[in-house]
Amino acid sequence: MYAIIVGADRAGEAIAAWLINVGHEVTVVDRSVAKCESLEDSFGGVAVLGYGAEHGVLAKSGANRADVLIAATGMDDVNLVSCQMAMYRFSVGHTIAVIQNAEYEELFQNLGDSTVINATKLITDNMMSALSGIQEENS
Amino acid sequence: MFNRTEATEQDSPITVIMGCGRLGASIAHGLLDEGHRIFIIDTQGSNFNRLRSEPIQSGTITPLIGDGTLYADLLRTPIQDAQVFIAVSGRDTQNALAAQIAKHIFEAPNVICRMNDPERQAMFMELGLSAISGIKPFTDLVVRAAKN
Repeated sequence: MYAIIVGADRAGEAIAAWLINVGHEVTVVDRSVAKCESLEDSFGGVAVLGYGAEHGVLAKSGANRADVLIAATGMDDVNLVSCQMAMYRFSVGHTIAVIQNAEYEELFQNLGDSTVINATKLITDNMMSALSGIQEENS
Repeated sequence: MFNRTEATEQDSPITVIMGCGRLGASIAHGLLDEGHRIFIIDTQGSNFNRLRSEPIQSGTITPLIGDGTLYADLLRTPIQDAQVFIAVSGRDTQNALAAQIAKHIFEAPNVICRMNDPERQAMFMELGLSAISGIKPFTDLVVRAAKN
């Protein structure tokens, strides 16, 4: 499988490392020079410097042969446009968008048929189940 | 998701603009002259200094500090009654997000967005937005001026 990951914050980098370790081909797009250099040091030959919502950057990343694009920057607008660009300009079959603002979940699903990972909801759900465990212990 | 109220013929059309940079302010004044009632939203209050003061006092232009990509802030404007939504911040991705919210969540009939990048412009035109890029017309003007 060939995967493009847009945004190499903690989650993006961890997913890249995991995909590489299980034998997949990965390119990571990030707009930070320092981040791209550290990715090159860790994995070699995987980083593309640039803005993932940019057509030229996705082209350079080999989007036309990618099986999946994961948009995991901290900016929901960039993640949305990256997924739409991958889908409608490069015919990438699967896109996964990370969102911080929970209210975008339905919109993003409808707009690009992306799998949406609602980061805020994941955290609050985990928080609530942890809290209800504590509550039971104390009741 | 949200119910629209039907506008009557004689009402002046309501336009919501996201972004009060030079372009947003200029469009606000242009549509004001066409008889629109304008609501303009920007995260920076100081950007509203670009607007003429008379229409603000008379209530035909209403500036609102807020983020045009957030449902709650858009709902502080009459987005559900707006005929036109225009996203003209400086960032393409912000404009694309706001415009698609206006079209798909609030079902604004006429949604226009600024795209600096001609590639994104072409894509969003295909996806049903009136995407407008200044790059091509500006280039044509410069090329023509350079020939003289």
